[in-house]
Amino acid sequence: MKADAGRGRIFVACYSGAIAAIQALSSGQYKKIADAPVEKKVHSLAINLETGYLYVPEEQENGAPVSRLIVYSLPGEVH
Amino acid sequence: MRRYVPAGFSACFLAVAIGGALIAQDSPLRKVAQVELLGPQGKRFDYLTIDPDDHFVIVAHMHGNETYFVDTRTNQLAATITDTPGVEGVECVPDQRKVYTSNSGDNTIGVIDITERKVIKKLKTEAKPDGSTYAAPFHKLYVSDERGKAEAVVDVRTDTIVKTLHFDSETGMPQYDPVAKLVYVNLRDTERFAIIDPQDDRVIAQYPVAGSRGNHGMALAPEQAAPSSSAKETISWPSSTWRNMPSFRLSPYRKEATS
Repeated sequence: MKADAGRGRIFVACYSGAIAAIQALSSGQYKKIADAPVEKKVHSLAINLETGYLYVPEEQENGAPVSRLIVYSLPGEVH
Repeated sequence: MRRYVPAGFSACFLAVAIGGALIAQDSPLRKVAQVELLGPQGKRFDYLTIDPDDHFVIVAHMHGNETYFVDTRTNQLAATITDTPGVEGVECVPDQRKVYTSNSGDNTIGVIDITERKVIKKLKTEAKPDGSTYAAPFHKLYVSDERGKAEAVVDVRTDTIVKTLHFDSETGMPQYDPVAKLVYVNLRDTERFAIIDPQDDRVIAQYPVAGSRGNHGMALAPEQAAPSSSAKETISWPSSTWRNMPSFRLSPYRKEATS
């Protein structure tokens, strides 16, 4: 899991095949804004704090073995 | 100096389970790029870290036994570092222009020179080095020896282990808090986390993490005074401000049969 304090977001890579995104609200509360489906067996991620891009390594695609790094953005980010 | 860990910190934890995990049909994530890594396919990855000065994302391919440097400006693979067996943790130390890898395959901490992009030293550690964090003002790297139930402290100026702290639990991800100038370490067996003062590497406190069974991952939002800890299916926030903080249920973890 990684925090993007500038955008008030926390992202969690879920082995079941999802990236969870938690948003800090101006009220001081937190809200889960996404359980975004990705390939299964994702274990970790990194955030480029300049761009807000997420880097997620994947070891499979639809069950077939791969070795790749996927770069994601979450629309609505300030670039 | 602002320090936000008051006495009685442990009394203010609250876990709130929110609903079940819902997977959206259409992903809110937009795929920007795909980088093919040249290591063995179908093998587990572990941690990543960003080197903002050199514009790299550095990827630990745990069961591929390699560490990759990917250029974040071009999304191209820039280097593949071998001799990092079972690499789990990766941490960039910009002021020394080095990257440290936690090599669970040979129980070492690897030191990679960023300029040369090769392993220049290995430090013997205890069992299964895992996550790591850098406390820049103290020039110290903290590496969790998960199975050794320990935390190794490395002086990055000399690349020597200057102290090893032992706990009554396997250690999970550590994080350095640049606001409080403290290091937090997950203690996954006891559902607690420890606080280390990098000034003298004393454990100054331990606190429970409500509702976090097997707490391993950790991220910090120090400006908001809220460390987060991830367990198998939940994340939660211990709070230093006496506010009740939420837990969120995550997409369920299901152990798959392995051949």
